[in-house]
Amino acid sequence: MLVLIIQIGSDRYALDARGVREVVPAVVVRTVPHAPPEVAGLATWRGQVVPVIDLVRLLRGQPCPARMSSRLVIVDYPTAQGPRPLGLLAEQVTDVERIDEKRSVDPGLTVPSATFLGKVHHDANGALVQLVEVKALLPDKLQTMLFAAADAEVRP
Amino acid sequence: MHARLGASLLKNVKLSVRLGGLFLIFLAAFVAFALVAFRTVDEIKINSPLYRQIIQDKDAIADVLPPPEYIIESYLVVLQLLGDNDDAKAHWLLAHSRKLRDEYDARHTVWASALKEGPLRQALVVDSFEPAKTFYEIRDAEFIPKITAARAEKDPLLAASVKEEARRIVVDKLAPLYEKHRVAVDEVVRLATAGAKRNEDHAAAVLSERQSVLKWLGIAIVILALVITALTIGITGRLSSHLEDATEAASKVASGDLTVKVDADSNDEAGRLLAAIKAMTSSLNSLVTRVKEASIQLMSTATQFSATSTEQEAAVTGFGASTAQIAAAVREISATSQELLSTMDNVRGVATAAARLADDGRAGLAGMDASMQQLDRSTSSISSKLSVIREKAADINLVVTTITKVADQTNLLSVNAAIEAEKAGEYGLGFLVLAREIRRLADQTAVSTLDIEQMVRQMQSAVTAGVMEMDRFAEDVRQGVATVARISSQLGEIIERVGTINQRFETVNEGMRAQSQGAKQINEAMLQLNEGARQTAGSVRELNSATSHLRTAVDGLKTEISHFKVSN
Repeated sequence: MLVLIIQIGSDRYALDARGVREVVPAVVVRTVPHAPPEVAGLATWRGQVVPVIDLVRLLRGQPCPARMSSRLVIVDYPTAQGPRPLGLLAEQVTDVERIDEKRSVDPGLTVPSATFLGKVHHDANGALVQLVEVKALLPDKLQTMLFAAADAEVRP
Repeated sequence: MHARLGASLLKNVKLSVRLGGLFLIFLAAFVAFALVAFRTVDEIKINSPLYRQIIQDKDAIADVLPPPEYIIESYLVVLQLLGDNDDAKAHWLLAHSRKLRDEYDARHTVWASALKEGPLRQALVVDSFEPAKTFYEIRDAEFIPKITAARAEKDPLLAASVKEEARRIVVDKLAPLYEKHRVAVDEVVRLATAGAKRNEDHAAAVLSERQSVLKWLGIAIVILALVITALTIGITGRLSSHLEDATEAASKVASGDLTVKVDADSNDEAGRLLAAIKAMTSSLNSLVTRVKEASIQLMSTATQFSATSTEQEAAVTGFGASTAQIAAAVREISATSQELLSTMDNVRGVATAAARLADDGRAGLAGMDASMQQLDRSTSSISSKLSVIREKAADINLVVTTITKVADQTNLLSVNAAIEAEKAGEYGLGFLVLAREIRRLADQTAVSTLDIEQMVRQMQSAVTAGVMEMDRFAEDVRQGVATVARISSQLGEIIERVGTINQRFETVNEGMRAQSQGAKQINEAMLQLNEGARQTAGSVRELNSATSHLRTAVDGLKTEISHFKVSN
């Protein structure tokens, strides 16, 4: 399985490449007032307005720094109305890697507020890489809030 | 030797002790005498043992011996002569008869003259004497011849008749006479016994009276002795206390204490002595007081005198010191002006040398100014070149940034390509490898550009530092140029002024020389004045020493006087 490697600090995370639509430079994100802190704002991708989640903030509690390697990963988020594009703001997104799904192990530790953290793999260098499950990334409330506008836009 | 020792011993004994000793000796002698007298009287009084012994002895003699005044023995001898006697016996009896009559006569004569008129004399000398006298006359005149005749008669008958006649005489004449005498003697014995009894009683009464008187007298004497002792103690105590007072007062006066109080209240010898000491103390007191006052006055006068002379001496010394100071000051002035003259000369030389040096300095500075100008120009050119380098570095930086951006884009592209290839499945496999190669190249490019960027940044900071250094150096050089110009102008001024100073030094020199001359003259005058002051000071010092001698003498007097304590 091919995964996109995201390095936040010294920890390495992985996104399933099949769910990734495109990796684009971290464009200017329009902030949304009164939104929860992990919601970075709105961005335009191929003429579409895409809600953006700050993955660094979600995982480490700090906003994503503006680096050259900081990028916006557009993923398909599965909703009731079909998959929707969702922007994930992350840093040091520069590599892809192939990992063996059979050798992945359960971490044996599940944090209730971070259910999106999945299985753990050893990469080619022996370092631990933890999978991020995109479909578990948003709580229902946040999901409703993020995609209501897009639905309203699509419907007419 | 012993007498002297005794006298010296007596000297150390107090008067009261001496008197007490004398009195004790007297009392002891008197008591001894009284005891001896009492004992003697007690021994020899009537009915005393001695008296009884004498009486007993007399009684024994009276009882044994035939009494001479009693003619009983003569009567017995008469009766014995009547008996038959041998010649020797008869002869002894006759002789004894004569002897008895002689004894009687002798005793009679004694008693006749010894006894006073009275019943005893009447009885002894008259009543008993008359028959005794007649008895002896008849015996010698009638009886003795008859006996003698009887003894001479050869015829025993005749002899017996004669003896009978003699016996008749005894019976008829002598026996009555003897009887008469015996009655008279009895009377005498009665009278004498009564008189003796009376005398004994009288003597015993007198003795007992005298003894009681003696006893009372002894008690009285003891009391008297006690009284006398008390009186003696009182008198000696008073006398010795007065003497002690006098001694104490005299010793205090001797030690110089004239404040001693003497109480002369009695008119005896001790009182007179105390009064004399009192008078002496008071007169001494007044004398010492007067001497003390006089010495104090003398002392104050001497002190005043001394102070005055000391002041004078100080004034003269001060005057001398002042003149000496003035002279010294003048000398100093003179020396200073001399020194100043030479200093002026030196200064002039130094000023001239300085002017010369300033000239040289100005020439050197001119050369230095030119070098400085050149340096300034060189730094300016270096600075501009450094600016060019900095601009070039910035250009390089720009290029590097561009390369980095390109590498980044390439990386992004390869990532997306890899993702797309994955999505394409089997068809994308070859493309995936390509994408990975592109990504590696991009990464290497990024690393290289990172290095270049690093180097350029270092170069840029070095150039910036160099530019700043050059700017500062150029500023320093500019300041140096300005300073050199200023110093050059100042040196010019110095050279000009040194020229004018030389002329002023000449005039100052002239004035100094005149001042030095004047100071020398003042100095000589001051030396003369100082000599005068020194002579005056010597005189005053002599006066001062004389005054101090006087003060020492008065001090001695005062010390002597101060031994005496004086009451006011």
